[in-house]
Amino acid sequence: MIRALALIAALGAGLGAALPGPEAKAQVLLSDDEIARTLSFGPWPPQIAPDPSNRFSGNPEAAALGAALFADPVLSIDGGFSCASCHQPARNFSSPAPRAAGRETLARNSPSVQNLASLRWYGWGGKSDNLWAASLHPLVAGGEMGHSPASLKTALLASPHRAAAEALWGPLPAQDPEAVLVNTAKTLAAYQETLVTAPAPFDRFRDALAEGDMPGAARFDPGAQRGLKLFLGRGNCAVCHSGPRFTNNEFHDAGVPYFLSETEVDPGRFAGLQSVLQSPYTLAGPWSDDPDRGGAWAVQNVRQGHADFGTFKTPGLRGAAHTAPYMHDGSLADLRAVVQHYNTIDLERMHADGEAILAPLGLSAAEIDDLVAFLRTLSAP
Amino acid sequence: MIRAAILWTALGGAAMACDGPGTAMVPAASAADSAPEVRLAYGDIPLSVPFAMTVTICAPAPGATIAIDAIMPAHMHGMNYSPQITDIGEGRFEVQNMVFHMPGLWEIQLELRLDDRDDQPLSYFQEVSLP
Repeated sequence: MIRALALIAALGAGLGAALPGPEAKAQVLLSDDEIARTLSFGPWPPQIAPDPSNRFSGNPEAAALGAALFADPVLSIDGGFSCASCHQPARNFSSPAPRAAGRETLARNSPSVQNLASLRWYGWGGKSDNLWAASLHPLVAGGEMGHSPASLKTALLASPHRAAAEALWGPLPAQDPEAVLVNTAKTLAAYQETLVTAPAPFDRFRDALAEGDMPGAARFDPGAQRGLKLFLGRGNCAVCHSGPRFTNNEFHDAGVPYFLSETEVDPGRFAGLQSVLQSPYTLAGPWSDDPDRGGAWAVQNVRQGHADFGTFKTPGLRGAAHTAPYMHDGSLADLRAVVQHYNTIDLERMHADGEAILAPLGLSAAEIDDLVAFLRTLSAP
Repeated sequence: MIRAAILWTALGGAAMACDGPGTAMVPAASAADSAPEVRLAYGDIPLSVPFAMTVTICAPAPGATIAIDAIMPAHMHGMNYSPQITDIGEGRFEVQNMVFHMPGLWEIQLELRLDDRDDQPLSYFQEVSLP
């Protein structure tokens, strides 16, 4: 049943009383069930407690040092680039390059580092179960920042950040290089957890629905409302893009090729699991500052299987209008290309024994426009 | 939090009933006449967040063990995490780390091994629809 609440404009006397303005035709197009499901995408921003595994989480001084380190090439072995080179603040902390360009061109797109606090997994393959580990791996990956713990310590000792770092971490000369590496990563995490996308047009719509303000909700673009109906319904988008961040934080085969060349593949979650299960930098490991090892249940109980091969983490959609290109390999140039991908998805590319969620959507050009219009409302202008 | 709509079929035959919390699981047809009632209790099921359940075996069951899992039949996949089962005595088990990471119809599957029927486990099912 479609709830069609006409917005009755408060019209004044004279001509206005005889001819309702265009807003009088505005409607909330969602059914009661769709409204209930829409409420699950908020409120935004969420209330997030400090990360107990990171003793610098929630510390403003650590966040300030983390911001300075994030933008400083001192974190790369050759001083050639910083975290911000790929996670560019002006592009919602992503990069326009399809694939990240570290010390070599990597296999995957640089995802935005906004809205990362308190996720279950990090990275396209879920190589980390916490934000500080996700910040640590690029520092020492040969193709990315390329430091060793020892070279990082040496670089920080000679950097203008030494005083601020020692105020937080203690005297640097006596610290084991691995401890310096972990402290650097935790300080970067303290900064990144503060990066949250601003409320978007969708949030005004959702909050109006939550408050029962139907006239207010009816001001939401009708095309975007139709797109939301597709997102919840025929598009099957909300099956994976759920919750206030529009992600279920799990891993799926989206039908994007995982062949990097004729002889190379990106194993996706399969490799991510192998990495995280051997890592000392998990919520279950010795570098966590949480004596209760909160959140460690996931890495301790996660299942492995060959169906993980070529699956990638469901990206959140907030701010997505500003983070093109898309998918794990950056192969889709814009949001319309993403919708078109799912509209004509090639099931031959899917795992034969994988999950059966996707099918070509068969949306019309107008419906694609509507779905794209909705996706754009998830980003603040 | 999302309220789960529980779909279940009432047990027939000679199954033993009890006043344990929750609702009765559906035994597999092959064991329906002799299987003790098994009840499953849980609160609201949040989407993609761990939740816990309590299993009650409605019969004297010293030494009984259970295995539990869940699948989405329409999607041909199960859960991404192994649930943890703790025997809390008197035929009751606490199950933790259940995670339904997608909305839709889930089927909870339970296998019960009783001491005196250790050749074949008894199978039970319960459907849960997550909006």
